[in-house]
Amino acid sequence: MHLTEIGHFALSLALALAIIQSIMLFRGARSGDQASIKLGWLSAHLTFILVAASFVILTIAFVQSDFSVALVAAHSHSLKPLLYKISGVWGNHEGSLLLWVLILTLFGALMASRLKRLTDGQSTMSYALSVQGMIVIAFIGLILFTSNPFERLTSLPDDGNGLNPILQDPGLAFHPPMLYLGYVGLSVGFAFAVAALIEGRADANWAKLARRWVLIAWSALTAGIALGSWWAYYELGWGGWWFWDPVENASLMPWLVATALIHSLNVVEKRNLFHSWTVLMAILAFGLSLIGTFIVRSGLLTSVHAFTNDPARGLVILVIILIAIGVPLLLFGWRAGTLARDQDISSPALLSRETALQANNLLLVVTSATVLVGTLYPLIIEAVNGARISVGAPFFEASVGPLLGLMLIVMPVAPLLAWRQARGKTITPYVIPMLFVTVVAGAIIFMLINDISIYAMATLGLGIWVMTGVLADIVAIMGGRNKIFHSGFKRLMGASLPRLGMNVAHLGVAVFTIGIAGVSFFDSETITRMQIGDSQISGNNTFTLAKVEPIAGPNYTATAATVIMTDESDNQTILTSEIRRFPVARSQTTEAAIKSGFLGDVYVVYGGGTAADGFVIRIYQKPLITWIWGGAGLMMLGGLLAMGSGGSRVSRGSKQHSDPQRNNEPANRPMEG
Amino acid sequence: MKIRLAFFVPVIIFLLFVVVSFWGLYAITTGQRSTSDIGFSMQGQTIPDIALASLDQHGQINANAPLDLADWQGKAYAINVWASWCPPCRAEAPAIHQLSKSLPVLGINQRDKPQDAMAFLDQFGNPYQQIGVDPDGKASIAIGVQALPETLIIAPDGRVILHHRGPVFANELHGSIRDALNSLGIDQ
Repeated sequence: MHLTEIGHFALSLALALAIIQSIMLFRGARSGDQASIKLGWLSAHLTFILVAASFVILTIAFVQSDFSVALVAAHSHSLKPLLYKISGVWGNHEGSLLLWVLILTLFGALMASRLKRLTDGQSTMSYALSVQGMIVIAFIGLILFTSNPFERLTSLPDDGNGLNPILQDPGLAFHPPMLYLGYVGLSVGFAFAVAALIEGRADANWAKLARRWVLIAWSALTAGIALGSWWAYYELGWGGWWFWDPVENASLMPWLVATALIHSLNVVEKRNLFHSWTVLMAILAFGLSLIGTFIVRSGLLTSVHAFTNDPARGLVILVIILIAIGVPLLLFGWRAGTLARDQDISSPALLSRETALQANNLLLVVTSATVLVGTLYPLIIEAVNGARISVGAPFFEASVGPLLGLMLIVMPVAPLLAWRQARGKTITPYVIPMLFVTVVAGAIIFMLINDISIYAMATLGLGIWVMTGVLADIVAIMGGRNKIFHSGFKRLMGASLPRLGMNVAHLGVAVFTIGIAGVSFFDSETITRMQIGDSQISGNNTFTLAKVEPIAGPNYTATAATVIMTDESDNQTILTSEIRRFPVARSQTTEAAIKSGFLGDVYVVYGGGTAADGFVIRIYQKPLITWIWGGAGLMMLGGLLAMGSGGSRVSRGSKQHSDPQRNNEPANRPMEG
Repeated sequence: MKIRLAFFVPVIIFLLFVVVSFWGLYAITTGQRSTSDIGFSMQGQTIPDIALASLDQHGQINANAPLDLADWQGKAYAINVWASWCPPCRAEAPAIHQLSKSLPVLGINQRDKPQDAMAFLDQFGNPYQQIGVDPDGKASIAIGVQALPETLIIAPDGRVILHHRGPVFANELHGSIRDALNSLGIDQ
């Protein structure tokens, strides 16, 4: 028997075990029968092992360039570098679905490993794991019945069909796995939401169980989206970092809702409010991940980088979505009313952290809905009256920009507000210095930069405003203005990880916003035709075309243009941009030469040409663009930090930190002290 | 247990989404609709008659002197669909200039503000014989545009002999575009 048949068999066996996992855990959760739970626990682990085995087998087929496997023949080539042979496994529809299921079952196994240690919440976890099993069933079924990656060819081709050379980039090799880790990770939050609806309970304990899973998924999704954008910026050579393509929107929508979910989970955990809303967010976050996958794979909408255009497969995915999201939403309609038990009778005041987080959630959901409507609008209009329209970047920029702007206004104040009821006089000592710093910094920028537009000013101002909020909360952690020099550092070291994580993530948002302001409003580009030895001034640098020569790479040939950049103090940097031609795939890519720095990028792209006509050289100045990815990195780091335990890290015995309110945080707020 | 109608709003919205998507896919499988209808390739087809208000050199939209493709019947020309907000359009600007030396290029300026379009032309130069404005993208869709920029080369008999998607770079000028021009008997 050939190895790939074993892989196929392992996958079929995994399907059977996922069915057992689902049924047994549902039974165990209902009756508390430990034998059923144990069997479910075992199945979840075995499913993961079997799926992992089939994934490894497919990877071996790619590494060995086994062209008897149809998928390898279609998507690999013997001349490809090893890294891209491996990334070729998920560079296609079938293989990426298998990676999707691998991550899904990994999460299942991780959840199962927590199952036995839980006393309180075991039934919730069992229901959740049972729901997880059902998702596994749907997706393994989808692979086995419509998208079998192990299909064999009867006649062997001499060599494979290569992989799109534009996909041969480290950024893209790691972009899909990260993104899937995020998408699939949200299935855990979803499973907990369905469990909550079955049990009719979504209390603080439930939120505690779900919190870390959502955070890790959110962090991975953040990293995945950032990697994709980074890839587009460096590889496509168009100088843009976000194009509002349906595929990009598909990843942004669940991210926005997952961000809302993180914040509303916090309210459930600390204040036992927002139950039904939080459950809805958890369902929608994963639902939008599925809808995103559906849009990318069904051929429903035209996109520049859609995987496959197969409406028949699209219908199967649509049916999965109908069941996977429709049933929980129906359940939500029926049962959401039962979730709000043991609710705090006193509803929060208008000026309270609850209200601020409610505003944050509404804005995030509205933004996500706007992106969804913008993406589907052409389809809706066509269904209604047959007219064809398309929605472009201007719509998204004009609608999403102001919504996010509103959010940034509220964001830095929210952490300073107390739960239940915040008093104006206790937050003013923080808000007034914050406003002062923002206005002064804004005024300095206004004087330094000539002709700055109102939008640029507003975006920069919001970035600074958010940053002051982070500083203010750090000051609050350190004991407020009176105690900051007394024991501030000790308090900072003892602060809870979620709170530090929040500040790191918010700092990331500020950095990101400033990066957007830099790139959107202060970028410049120069396009010239140069002869060897010609010079061109752009910004504060002089660019000299040194040479244009042919070079050979591992599986491509290229023309490389070398440009020497000389700055004001005569430092020289050599920048080499290439046009690569891939003979096997009969296509070509442009490799931009990029000098990245803290204050931004200088980006040189060779655009072809001849010695007679001159060579086309494009020079871009992209101020602060590195801040966009730096900001995303900080957000991800913040999400990971927030996974830490919620309590104070200073020993419980310490009198100073024994205040039971500390977990609720207001205790060390200035106004409560 | 209280059941509130408001809690059913999400599932109702979701079902609407499913119905529309199902219609979209079903119409594809029955052939009523094809995704390639938006962004179908014009290659080999006859260019439809399109008349658009033009953008004059002062940045004014002028409906009295429209860009009318019927006026170009009998001549070989190119159409370049662009916008100031589209980064790859900036990247291809030198190549479009190069192309305009070989045959007339008509610009279709999609979803743009006249002042932004003028700023773009000031910065990168104006290679266009005439510019038509397409504020809602309808004309672009009529000629099969998927995403900006796209360039079409049209023979004197109105047939589209090349429909190129994405920016035009040196590689295209020396490849597919040169072949298309050669077939029209034009030397670059």
